[in-house]
Amino acid sequence: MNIEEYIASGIVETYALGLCSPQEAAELEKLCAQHPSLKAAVIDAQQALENYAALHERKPAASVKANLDAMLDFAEPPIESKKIRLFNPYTVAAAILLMSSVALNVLLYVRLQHSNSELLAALSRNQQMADNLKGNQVKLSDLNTQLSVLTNPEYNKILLKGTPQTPSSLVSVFWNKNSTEVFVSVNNLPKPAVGKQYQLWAIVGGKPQDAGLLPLDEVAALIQMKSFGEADAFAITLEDAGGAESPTLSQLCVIGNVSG
Amino acid sequence: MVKNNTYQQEHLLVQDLIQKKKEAFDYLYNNYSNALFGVINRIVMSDEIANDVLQECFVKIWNGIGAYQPEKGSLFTWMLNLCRNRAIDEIRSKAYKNETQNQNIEDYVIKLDENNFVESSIDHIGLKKVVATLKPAYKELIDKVYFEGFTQEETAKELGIPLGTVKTRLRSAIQQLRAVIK
Repeated sequence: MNIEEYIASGIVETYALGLCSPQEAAELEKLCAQHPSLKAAVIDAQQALENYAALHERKPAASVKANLDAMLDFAEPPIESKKIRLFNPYTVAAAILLMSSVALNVLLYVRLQHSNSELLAALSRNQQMADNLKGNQVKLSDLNTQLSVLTNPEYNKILLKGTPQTPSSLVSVFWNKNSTEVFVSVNNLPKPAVGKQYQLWAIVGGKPQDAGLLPLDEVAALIQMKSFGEADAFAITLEDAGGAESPTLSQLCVIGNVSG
Repeated sequence: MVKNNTYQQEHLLVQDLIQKKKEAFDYLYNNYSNALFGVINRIVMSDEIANDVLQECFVKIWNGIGAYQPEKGSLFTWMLNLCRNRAIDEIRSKAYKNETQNQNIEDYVIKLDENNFVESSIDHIGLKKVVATLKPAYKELIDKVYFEGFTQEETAKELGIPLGTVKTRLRSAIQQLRAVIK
């Protein structure tokens, strides 16, 4: 194809006026890429029409620009300006204050939790010590009573010794004739069988009288029994749990006479 | 078109338009809205309709800038053709025909000339001289095709001249307009 003839055919002007068929336009655009002279002619024709169009210039209404400014989706301002805003002194100060406050809150919260658990532990220990103290006071009171019994010269100590069946058994009885109080201290007695219980007897005028049951689980050193103003001897028998009206002599464990 | 110093090269303007930069839009509007409005106005012959069409065209330009192909011509030519096609569609629409049926086109052309106070970046005096030297028949041809959307065949039929003559005269008219640029 002779490009000069092609240009002279009027196709360039037809193209610039927008009157080409799509096929003609595609062919011309393809040829433009190969022939700079054709491309230059097209640009010239377009510029001629641009200028002819511009000859009719008029100012549109101001509302057109205002409407467009309001309705078009413009890009956000550059990110740099946001970064600058992020690092302004007030933001930095606020951020530091916030972080300090959060850190302080966390610290105080942890300390509070710690204090709470310590307080609970202390309260528990306190309760335990109070319980111990109470127990100790009871024990001390018992011991004082027992000590007063043992150190009081008015008390008569009677040893109750084992029978031939129970030679190793030994029980001490402390008896105050004036106050009539009777205490028992078990030195050695076999643990009673299940359903059985030791019972103390006072022999008054040859007749045994119930002086009380030995507690099954008593650990105290001195056990207060029933009071007697008169007694010749004391004995312990093994009876059914709960005690008996009169002693079962075959179950006599220990016995001792009141001296003097 | 003479441009201000903001965008020395057109491809930088197009690049910023694609990135939706406000300053690129402002530049585009400030530099091209008068020319585009003038063309639309010349086609629709109504300030009110022309303002609406111009606004619509700028929305199309803004949203469609990605479709602009620089190898096919300048940004201005692309926008001109977009506006021209939209305005020609408008005068062919039923709504337009109803709205303007009582208006006398001759009167409007006179009014248009009186209102044409826009400061232009183009050598209007030189170009006007060229246009003035164009034979009225040639000018009529260009206006029929460029501003009224007639095809060459329609123009030939309307003016009662052969199609070949229409083509020759159009080419000659554009070459005369080109001469003023060189």
